[in-house]
Amino acid sequence: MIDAIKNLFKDNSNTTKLANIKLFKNLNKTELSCLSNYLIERKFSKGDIIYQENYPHVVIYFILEGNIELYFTKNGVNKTFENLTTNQHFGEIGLFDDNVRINSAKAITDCSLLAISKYDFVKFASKYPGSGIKLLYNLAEEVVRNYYDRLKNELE
Amino acid sequence: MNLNNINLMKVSFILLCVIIAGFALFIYKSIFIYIILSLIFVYFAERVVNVFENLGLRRLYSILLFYLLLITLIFFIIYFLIPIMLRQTSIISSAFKDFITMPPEQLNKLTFVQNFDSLMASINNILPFINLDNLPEQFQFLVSESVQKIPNYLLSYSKNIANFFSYFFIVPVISFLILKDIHLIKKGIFRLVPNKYFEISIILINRINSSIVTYLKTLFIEVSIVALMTAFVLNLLGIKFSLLIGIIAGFLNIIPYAGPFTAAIFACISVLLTGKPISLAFWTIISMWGVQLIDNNVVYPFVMSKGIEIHPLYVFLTAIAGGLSFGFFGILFALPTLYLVTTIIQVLYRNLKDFGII
Repeated sequence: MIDAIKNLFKDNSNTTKLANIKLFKNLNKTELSCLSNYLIERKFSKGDIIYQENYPHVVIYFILEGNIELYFTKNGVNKTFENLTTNQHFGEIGLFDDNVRINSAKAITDCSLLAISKYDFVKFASKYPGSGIKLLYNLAEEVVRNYYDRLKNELE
Repeated sequence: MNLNNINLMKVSFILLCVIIAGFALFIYKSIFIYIILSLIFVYFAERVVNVFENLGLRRLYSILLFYLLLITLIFFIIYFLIPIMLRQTSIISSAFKDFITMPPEQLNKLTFVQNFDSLMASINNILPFINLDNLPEQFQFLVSESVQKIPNYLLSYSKNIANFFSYFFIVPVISFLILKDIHLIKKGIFRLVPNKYFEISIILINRINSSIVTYLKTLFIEVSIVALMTAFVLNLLGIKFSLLIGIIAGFLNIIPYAGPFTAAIFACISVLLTGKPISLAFWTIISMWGVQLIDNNVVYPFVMSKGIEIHPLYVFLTAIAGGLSFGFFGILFALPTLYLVTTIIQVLYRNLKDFGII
């Protein structure tokens, strides 16, 4: 609480940290600084639920520090879907889909995340179209890579 | 024991925070209204500043450009629009004044009174049991009574008018500082939201925000269109103060049912008191009715594609309650407030349910 009050009007997201996030590669310092206006820092303790399955998805998270587990629940049993670590991101499906979350996210260590709502993401992309294209290109590149990796694994 | 100590510390800290917050509220209470007004100002200004930012201007320059445009607009209103309005107001007010102070013999010479007398005479012939004598004098007395109440009404608002000038200077300064650092302020506020409610707070703010914007946009478009259409048709009829009546009709249109009716009555009386014939008053009513028809069947459905439905009885009761509590402005803002509160409650209920909080 005291920390929150102390940091109320202090901007903690510095551009060096942002530059390490995979999705933000190719963005220059000015673009990162503009983007940081929309990013909100969130802290989660080990075991905290970040979001749950079937919740409306509106927020994309970037991991500044810590590890995250994405899982889904089937017949009351949690099944791990993916483990993510520093500089990775999750929840981006919400950008392209208005339905609810298909998985849950849990902090498996103490975590520091940056969050951006899909509304702010779209606002940023339309305000700075050049940066918006870079971000969407990076996102598409990652989706394609993931798709090929899975295809390769299945074929092997 | 240890746990009790921790709880005691926690309770003491919360108590201390509450005391500090209470004290701060007491100290800041005099400027509370300035902050509220600044936030409303920022709410609208932010939209224009965003447009400039989207065009590639830096935020600070966008804010300065907005203020420059605002000053130009105020300058334009003071130098061009207000003199026209004042001229038209003085025509109507002098007509009202002449009418009130007019001796009965002169009153009977007025075109509309003569027309009215002949109309009354024919009604008396058909229905002799209805006493319609001295109706123009009674009408004169009624108008006189109502007009005499206006100075007292304005006097009761004179303190607010004096305050208006202090708001006029302080609110833009506070708003400038908020606008400059709006991202930091927003982020700071979101940081205070617990993780559990973080995502829902984003959804709620976004949905409430878009509902308010949609409604205010609709209201603004409707008021402007009704004002313009009324001014245009009255101008075609050759009424001198068409602009003033148009603006009044536009704003009165916010009040459902009674608003357009009051505007038509006002227009009609103004036409009659400036010595125009009854037929012109009749055409004024017809044209204002026409404007209402276009507004209700074309403008409203077009601009308000998916509005919420509120029962007319509820609308009426709210307008009356608003009027009893806050006077004329209460009536004027009753429906917009009712609409916004209903929308906020609907959005809150739907989303809190989606998140399983209620």
